[in-house]
Amino acid sequence: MHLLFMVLFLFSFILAQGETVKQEAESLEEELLRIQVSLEEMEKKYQLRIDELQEKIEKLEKGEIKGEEKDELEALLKEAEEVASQERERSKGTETKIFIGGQRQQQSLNPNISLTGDLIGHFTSAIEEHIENNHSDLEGRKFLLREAEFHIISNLDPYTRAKFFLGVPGLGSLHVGEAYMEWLNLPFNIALKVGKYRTQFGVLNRWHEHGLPQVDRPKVLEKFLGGEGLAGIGTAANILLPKLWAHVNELDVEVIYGGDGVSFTNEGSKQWVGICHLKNYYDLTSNAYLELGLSGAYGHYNTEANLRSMLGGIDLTYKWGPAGRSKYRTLEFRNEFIFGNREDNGNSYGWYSYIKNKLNASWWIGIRFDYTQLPNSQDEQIMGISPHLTFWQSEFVFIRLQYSYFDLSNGRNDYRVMLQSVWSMGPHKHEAY
Amino acid sequence: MRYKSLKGFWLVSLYLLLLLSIIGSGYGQHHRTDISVVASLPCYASIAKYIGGDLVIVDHIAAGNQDPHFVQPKPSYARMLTRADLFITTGLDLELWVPTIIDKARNKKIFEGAVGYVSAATDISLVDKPLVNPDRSMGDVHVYGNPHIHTSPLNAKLIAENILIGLKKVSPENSAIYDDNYKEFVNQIDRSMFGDELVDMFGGEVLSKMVMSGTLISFLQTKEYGGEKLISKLGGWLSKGMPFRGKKVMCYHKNWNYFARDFGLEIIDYIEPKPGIPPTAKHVKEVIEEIEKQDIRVMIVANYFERNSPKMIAERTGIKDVFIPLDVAGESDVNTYFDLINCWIDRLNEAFKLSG
Repeated sequence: MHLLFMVLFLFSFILAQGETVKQEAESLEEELLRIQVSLEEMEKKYQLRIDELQEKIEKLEKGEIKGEEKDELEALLKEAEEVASQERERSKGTETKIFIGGQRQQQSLNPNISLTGDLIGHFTSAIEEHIENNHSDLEGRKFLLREAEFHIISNLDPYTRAKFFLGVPGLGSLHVGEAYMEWLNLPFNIALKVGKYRTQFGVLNRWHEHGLPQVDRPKVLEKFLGGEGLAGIGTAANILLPKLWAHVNELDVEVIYGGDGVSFTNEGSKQWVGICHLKNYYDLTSNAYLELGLSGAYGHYNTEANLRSMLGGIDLTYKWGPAGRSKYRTLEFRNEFIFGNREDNGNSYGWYSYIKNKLNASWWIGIRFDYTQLPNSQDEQIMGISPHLTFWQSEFVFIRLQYSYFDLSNGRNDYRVMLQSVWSMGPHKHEAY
Repeated sequence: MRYKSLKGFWLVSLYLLLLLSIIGSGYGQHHRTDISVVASLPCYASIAKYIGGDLVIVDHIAAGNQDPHFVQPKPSYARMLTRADLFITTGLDLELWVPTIIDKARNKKIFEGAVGYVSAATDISLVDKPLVNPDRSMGDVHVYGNPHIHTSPLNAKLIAENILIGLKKVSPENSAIYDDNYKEFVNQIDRSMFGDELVDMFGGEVLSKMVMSGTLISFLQTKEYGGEKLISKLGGWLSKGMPFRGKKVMCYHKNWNYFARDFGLEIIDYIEPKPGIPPTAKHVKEVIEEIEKQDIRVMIVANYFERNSPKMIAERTGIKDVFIPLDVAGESDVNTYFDLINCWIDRLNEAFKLSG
């Protein structure tokens, strides 16, 4: 009996298990179907997305940007342009527009005007009263406004330019230092100057007092060319020669009426003086150059006696200034030798030599040696030595201290201490190189 | 008698020299097909060479490591200009030595206003214009505004345009070549400045205007494109210069004001008390105090200035001194305008990195 029950139980159990398995199998089948549907939906969805992207890539490859992105970029670009023009918009602002006529406002056509002051403090042990034809304007004064000079420079028209240098020496009367017009661009590389000017005899004769490398002019220039230099009214041609033996060759040919009153007379009817100067310029390196000049001048020194005079000169300049450091280091070595001949008085000569060294942006130190005979008396001569120290406060103000010792031929000596202060208002700058 | 013969000697000499000058005035003018270009500064020469290519022979007067304010107008420079077809200069009051050389050169083609004269600063918006009538109490003041225009790459495009006009005037037959080279130059500047992506999106002109109005970086930082901030697309020099954007610096002279405008540097003060005036002890003391007060980390000095004052300030304050060339060829590896800007940015990045 028991056995029968057990068999029936087992049979029922097996039947029940078979039903459960069947149900589970059906459930799994349903699940698989759902997954399959889901996958198919996903596949469709992503295929659509892939198709979209593919289309987009194709468009991008063809250079077509999708409309929305294009719109976005265009909007950004427009915004960028608006932002970029903000400054201009602001500058328009709400300013009230005022209309101004320019007919009465012609100041901008005024010439460049500058004023230079040259003050000298001068302490000396002797006065050179024994030397004939002494033109030293330092003589016997303790303090002196050596010159207040106006520089007036302007273009006249497209072809010419004019320069006026009006000086008030020693608080005296106004005098015209230079006044000339010049054509800068004539045929054959010629520049032509007409008017009153300082001649190109040597180098320093052209330079105005305040631009000199020392307080005073070298003695040889003072004694042969006069205290104010060889200047006069006339015409001058500066010719840029073709490249000959030097890197640059320039020739100056000048004729003036009215000499210096020393070597050439400035009285009577025969005041014509002819001057020429040949400049030979050599670039030694990019930082250094050498300049060798030859000068000549010819004219009368005594009209009444019809006596003529001739001057010859040699100038030599070496300058070193490293391109990247020239603001702080420069060395200048300059020499001029002058030989004079007078018809009734024989030969005479003289020279100077100076060296000056830039120590830094503000300080220069230098020394000059002088030797000269007197053109009218070869027996008399002057030898001198002049150390000097210069402080450049700026391009427009400098202060210089100079000590000079001169040995005069009659056994007398002259000691001098000079303090110079030079200032310049306006645009004027030296054009020396 | 002796004087009569001397007079004859002078007359014959004069005649011979005049003859030489007449012959010489035509010397070298024949059989020359290249266009001779002379620039006052090396950067203008570099740009002119880019635009002129093989058609031009380019030279410059000032050296790359030279203070452009102070160049001796030597006769050899006048000789360079004598045969120049085109002369390029800033055209402001930077190179005051230029008129002397032009006058000496006797070359009417390159006089101011003539076809062969190019003023590089034309149409450039100048900074540091004096607000009142300038006078010398302001130091060696530039009456028209700051003339160191080439320190802005954006200004370089206008400089190039002015040079292009000059070249086309003196050799119109080559205009097409110059135009192509100019476009390539501008394109290279734009791509070097902003990177390719932004230039492709906005174009160099709009981006340049935004730099000029000081709005580019904020625009890029706030706007998005394609889900990304636009600043991520910034490339080129401006991207390289981002590490020092907004940083405070000390300069020796007003050399870098255009560069500072473009790259967002804040120049606090200058070692010079006034432009062109050497530093005084009092001013150096003030500069040191300013550096310490404002925690300024970097000092920019053009490599032609003296080094004593900057070195002394650096020792006292720990500020990093950066001596860089102001112009092309100011150092051995700086051969083009692009080298120059790269040099500035690299050195500044290095300095700021070292300064912490």
